Amino acid sequence: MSKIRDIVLVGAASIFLCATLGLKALYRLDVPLPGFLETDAERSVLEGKTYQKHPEFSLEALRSGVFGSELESYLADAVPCRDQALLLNARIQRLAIAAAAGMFGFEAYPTFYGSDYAYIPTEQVVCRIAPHASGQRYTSLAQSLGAVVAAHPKQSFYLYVVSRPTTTYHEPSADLVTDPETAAYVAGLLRQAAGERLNVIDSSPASFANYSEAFFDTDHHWTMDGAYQAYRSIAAAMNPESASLEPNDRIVFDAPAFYGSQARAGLIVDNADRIVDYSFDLPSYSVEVDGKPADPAHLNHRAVYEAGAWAADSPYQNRYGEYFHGDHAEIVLRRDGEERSGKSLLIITNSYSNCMERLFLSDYDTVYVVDPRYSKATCSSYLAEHPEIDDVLVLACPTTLASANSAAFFA
Amino acid sequence: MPAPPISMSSVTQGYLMVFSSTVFLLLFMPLCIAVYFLTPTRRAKNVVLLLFSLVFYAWGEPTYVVLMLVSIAINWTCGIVIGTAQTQGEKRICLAVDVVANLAILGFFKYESFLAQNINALLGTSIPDLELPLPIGISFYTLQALSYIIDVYRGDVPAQRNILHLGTYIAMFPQLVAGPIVRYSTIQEQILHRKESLSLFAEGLRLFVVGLAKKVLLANVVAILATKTLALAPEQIGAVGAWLGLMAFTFQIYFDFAGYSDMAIGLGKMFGFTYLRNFNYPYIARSATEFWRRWHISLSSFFRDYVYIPLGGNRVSTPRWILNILAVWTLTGLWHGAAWNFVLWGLFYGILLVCEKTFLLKLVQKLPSPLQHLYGIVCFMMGWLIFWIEDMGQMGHYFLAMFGAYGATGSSTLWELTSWQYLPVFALCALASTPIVPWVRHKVAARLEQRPARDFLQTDLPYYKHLSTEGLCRFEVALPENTPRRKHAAVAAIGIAVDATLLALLVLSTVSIVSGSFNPFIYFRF
Repeated sequence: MSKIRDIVLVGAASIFLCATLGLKALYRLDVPLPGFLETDAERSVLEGKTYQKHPEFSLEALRSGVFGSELESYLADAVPCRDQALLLNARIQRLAIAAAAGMFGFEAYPTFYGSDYAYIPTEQVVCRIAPHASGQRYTSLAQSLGAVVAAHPKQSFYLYVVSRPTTTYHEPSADLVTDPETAAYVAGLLRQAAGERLNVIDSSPASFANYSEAFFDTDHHWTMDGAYQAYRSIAAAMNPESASLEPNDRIVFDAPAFYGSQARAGLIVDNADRIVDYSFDLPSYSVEVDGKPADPAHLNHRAVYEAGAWAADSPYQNRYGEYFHGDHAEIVLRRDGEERSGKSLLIITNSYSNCMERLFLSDYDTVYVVDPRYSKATCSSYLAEHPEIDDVLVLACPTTLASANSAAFFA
Repeated sequence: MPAPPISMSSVTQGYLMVFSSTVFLLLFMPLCIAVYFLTPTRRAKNVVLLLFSLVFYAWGEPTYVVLMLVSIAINWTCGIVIGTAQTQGEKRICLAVDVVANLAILGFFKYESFLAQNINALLGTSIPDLELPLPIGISFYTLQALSYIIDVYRGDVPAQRNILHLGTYIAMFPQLVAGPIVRYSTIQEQILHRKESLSLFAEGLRLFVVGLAKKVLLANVVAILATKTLALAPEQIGAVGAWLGLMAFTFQIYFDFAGYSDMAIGLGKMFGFTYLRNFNYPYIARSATEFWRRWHISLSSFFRDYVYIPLGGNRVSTPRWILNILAVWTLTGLWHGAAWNFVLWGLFYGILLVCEKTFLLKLVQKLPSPLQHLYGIVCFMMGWLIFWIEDMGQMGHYFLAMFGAYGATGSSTLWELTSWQYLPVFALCALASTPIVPWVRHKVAARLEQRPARDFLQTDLPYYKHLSTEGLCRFEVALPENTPRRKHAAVAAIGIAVDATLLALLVLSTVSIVSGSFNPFIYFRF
């Protein structure tokens, strides 16, 4: 009997340990395999990354450690059911963490050991753990932004710092971290550097509950509810004499349900989000994306969703980007027709504007949208190229504002 | 996203292959085992092991593999010369040459920077600090080589005439990176006359899986807290953070090292080698004396047999004996690292052991058993504090934090300390530090065999003198004749349940590795 046990143990362990490379060999030999055993996928939607390709061997690569490191990644990426493995590992760790949180009465807890994301079961929300406030991160941007504002007296500058969801913005977890970084803190830093010519638009939600409505439960983006609230605040600040655009309807797409960026990064897929959209009576307009003409429908794929024709059936798909649009270095929207305000707007932004930049056509003839993460221009060069720009709106979350790209854009 | 396994390229040149990596588990180990068992002869099998060991080493140290080959060549040559020397004088000279050569290599690569900095600071000289990357495992394979040459000199073993066989012993990959320090005398016969078998292979596999689980599921998890705690200033963590951070490191270093030793011993068994134990539940020790009979047994016995006893041991005057103890423990501390905190750590234990041997142990043994255990815990945790924090100033502040100088949680909230998250893991670690598994096995076996259970801690596997690895991962029950079939079935069921659990641990460990879990390895610096 013990011999049989030994054989079974050794056999099972051998099959398990040889499965990855064995399945790769079978795949290369064109042996049909069930989908869940596929080991040759190129990309992970869950992780948002391209899998490591088989590394090229060379003595130099071995000596420097590059070959070893890449082979390690290649094998780890090639393991069958990798997504399930990641989620299972996180879930097991989360069980222990949740038990500990229960002992201490904490209403939020990290999604796995070492995670930057917390789960709040009472709100069914996944959000980032608030970082500590640190002015150092914004030093470069503050200096550059201040110089640009001073150098362009003809333009009016506005700042709207998006409160990317963190533990600080959810009521049961507001005080978990000492001295957390908030949107108001970042805005205050930049205002101090740029002076009075930088108009800071308050981005605080009316309440914790309001904050939960304004943002997805599992994604770092805001919903159309939150984006529209932001638009109203911004429009009131930039053009107080104009009435802001009112929506005609509000639609929630029950399908496709999706797990957003924070759920994916936190490896917790218990609750799904849904796309919310409004419709507006917008003036007719044309669109250019990265210098080439594009269909206005590129900015909003409501028709596609209403037809049930969304792409690829993965719950980890970036539905926010799919429904509205992806990120581009430059988008230009121009009103058609006779009724014109004579004003132009430059929005320096990241993906938060993807759902709402077209709304500003109610007050502006031309809306330029530049993403410093992709654009090769600087703010000064762009303003020199487009002297007709009247207002400049910086609309981004602290992460983008703290990046080297943003500092370089304003240099 | 989970961080990828830490590259060791900041210390070594290449990318270190560790047992708990996908390259080792999913490629190297299956390939090595397959080639080994397909190789027909014993000598060829040894060559296979040597070649795979050199590949294993070159993976992380493509340049320094030459150094290892040089070490093998020097030790083989000196062994032959000693073995054929006509006079004791010749033997002594050759031994001295070999010992100096081994220690010079170790000293140069491991201690050059430390010596240069300290001599320059003391004497105002300008000795260049070469900042050499530390060759992987040099501390381990150097001691193995020394044990070989000294045993040859003493006549305990004949010189190994086949350089490939000696190379296999010195370079053997299971124990290369983190021990155990295998004495040549314990495996000399096994090099040519070992016998692989299915049961030994399965036993080795079981032990390997247990070690892997210790390393990946326990050590790597608490390492996250230990690393985070050390990165924060003591003022930020307070007493709660400081104690729990130290507890995390205490568990990390044990399960990391013991896990690696289990994997090494298990791999050895798979190839037919039987090594001695390296860890024997050290955290149940009731004194520092007992702790060092249970912790890194191969190292403490090496220093006992090759340094302490040749110095005279305890068969000298009391002042000389104290000097011997302090010398051995200073060397032990230095062996662990080229920094003053390691020297301090060694001296800490040297002084403590002297105190215990002279008066302290008698006092401690009068205490109730739980207090003796508490004393043991305090001893090794304070020792780990010194071991863990290299900067003396930071160590002082950390010590103050432990005793409330910065309040309960310092400048942090309890939540953001994150230590509370690890309490379930600490509970699991505490349980896994005890001999609960052999205790349960012992009780079940006694019940099935219908005999009274013996005094478990004095006779069974956790007994500190039990150095054999026989039966570490085996459950054997000698059922009396005419035992009912249901009892046979019960034994079989227990065995199946244990194997199912081990397979589950293997899956979970692999899942954890694939997740790119935090994978630092403390003993890589040796």
